[in-house]
Amino acid sequence: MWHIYLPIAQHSVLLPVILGLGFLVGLLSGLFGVGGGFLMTPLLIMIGIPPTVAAASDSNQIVAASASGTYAHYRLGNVDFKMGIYLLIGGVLGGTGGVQIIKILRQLGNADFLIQITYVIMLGVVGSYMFVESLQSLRTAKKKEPAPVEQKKSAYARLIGRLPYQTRFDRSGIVLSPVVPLVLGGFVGILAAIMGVGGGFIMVPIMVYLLRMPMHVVVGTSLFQILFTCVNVTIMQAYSNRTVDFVLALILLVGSTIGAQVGVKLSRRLKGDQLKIFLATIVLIVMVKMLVGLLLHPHFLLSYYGGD
Amino acid sequence: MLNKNTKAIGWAFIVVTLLVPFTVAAETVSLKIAPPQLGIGTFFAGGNIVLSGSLPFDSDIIIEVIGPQENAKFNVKGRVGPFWMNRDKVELEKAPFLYVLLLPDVQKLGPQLPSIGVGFEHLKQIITIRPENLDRDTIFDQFVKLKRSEHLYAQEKDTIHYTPQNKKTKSFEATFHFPASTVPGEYRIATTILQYNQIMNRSVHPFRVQEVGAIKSIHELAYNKELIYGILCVIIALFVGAVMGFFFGRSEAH
Repeated sequence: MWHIYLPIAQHSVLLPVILGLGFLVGLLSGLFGVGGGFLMTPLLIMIGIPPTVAAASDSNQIVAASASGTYAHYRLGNVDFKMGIYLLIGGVLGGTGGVQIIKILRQLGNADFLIQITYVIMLGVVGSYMFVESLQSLRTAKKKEPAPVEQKKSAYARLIGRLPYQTRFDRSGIVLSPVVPLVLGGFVGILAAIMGVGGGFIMVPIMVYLLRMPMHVVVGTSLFQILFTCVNVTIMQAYSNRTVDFVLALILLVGSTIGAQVGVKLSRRLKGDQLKIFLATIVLIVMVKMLVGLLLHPHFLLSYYGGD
Repeated sequence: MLNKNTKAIGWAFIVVTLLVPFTVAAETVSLKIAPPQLGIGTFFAGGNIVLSGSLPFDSDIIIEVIGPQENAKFNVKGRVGPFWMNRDKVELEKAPFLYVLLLPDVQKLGPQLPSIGVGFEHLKQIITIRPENLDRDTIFDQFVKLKRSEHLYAQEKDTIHYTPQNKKTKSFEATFHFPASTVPGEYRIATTILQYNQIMNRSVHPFRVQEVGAIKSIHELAYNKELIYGILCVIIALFVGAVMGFFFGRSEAH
């Protein structure tokens, strides 16, 4: 009664479980502007979906979740399309380069270890930094605000200030060279390709801390960029690898689009720093789980080979 | 004297003539499989088949349900420094996707299984593990452990039940549950009849598991018209996303 058969995964699953997973990931997507691939793919693998099908079908459902989230944020005026397009171009170029890097790494052997360690380090650094910084901001906000002091510009700020083609990004309220989002988008694209995820959880901190964009614009813009990345990935995976399970994606996306809308509404009730602390906590939990998985004796020494 | 011998030969001929058909009958089994094939539809959650027939009273039957053979590829985890990680890749050639052994009375037949040519020990002999430098025993044990956890490999005791029909024959019946993770393909149901610890007959019956209805249509589209399938997936996802966004937007406005 509650089972449904997935034609590409060739696996029968419980409908409420898949709907619930979709809702959870959609909620995160709406709240933080992350695609949720870094959470969803491992969860789907845990319930028996082959890794390649899990990753590809997840991309398909993120298309719906991010489309729904982008639309909701667009209505709130939270999408910086200009910044999003620069990040997207950089992301596509970086992603193409990243795919080549992963090919070379696999030929050299032991690429899996590098991928997992990259995951743990990236999640650890990003999660810890966000958590500590947001906590400090919240504490400072509670104290009486001191008179504003003219601060000395950092080396990074001086460097990006010297770059050519300084352009105004109205929606974000910043002036920046397009070189910065292109290069940072490219960097995230490379990491995303190596780690096999959309890269939202890296992109969001980069927008906040390196592009200095306001948190609510960051969420909408990140979703806009993720939408196009995942459209590309879904079509490529269906065409090249036949790994997109439409039935799985459809169930996930029904759950995730509802979750995304709930997430967007919830995000408006929370402060930027509170949002960052929640995201940092989730990132750190995933990091600790991965680290524990690497250190403890596994229950099974064999796992299904997902293919290169 | 000649008459006596002729009579004896005559009686012997009659007895042998009467016994031969019975002996032939004892070596064969008529296996009935119900339903004759299994369909995987939208709400498939596994499925039962009933295997039944009759056999000589003093014999036993062993049934193997064998899935499509495949070259199964796995990552092998190993320890590197403090970390457990995928260290090798291994391929098990001719490994059935599913292997379930149904037994009538394991105490009676258990010790004989390897010599009969059924069971995990027999599989271990026919499966080729590559690369060959890996520890064969460990890899096979881990393979069976993984498959058992998915209910795809099992040796099930006392699952064949006998009912006496008369002094010479008895009927048997066993129910096998195909798990939810069953894949479509050509399966085999192999029966082995044992009489006085000897194999009297071995036969193999094909059994098809196939996708039906919407599941079959989606599978065919994904495999035969990949690009159209991929674009359709995106269009439907965008449509559902937009509809949900519109729906939530409207409800918010009210």
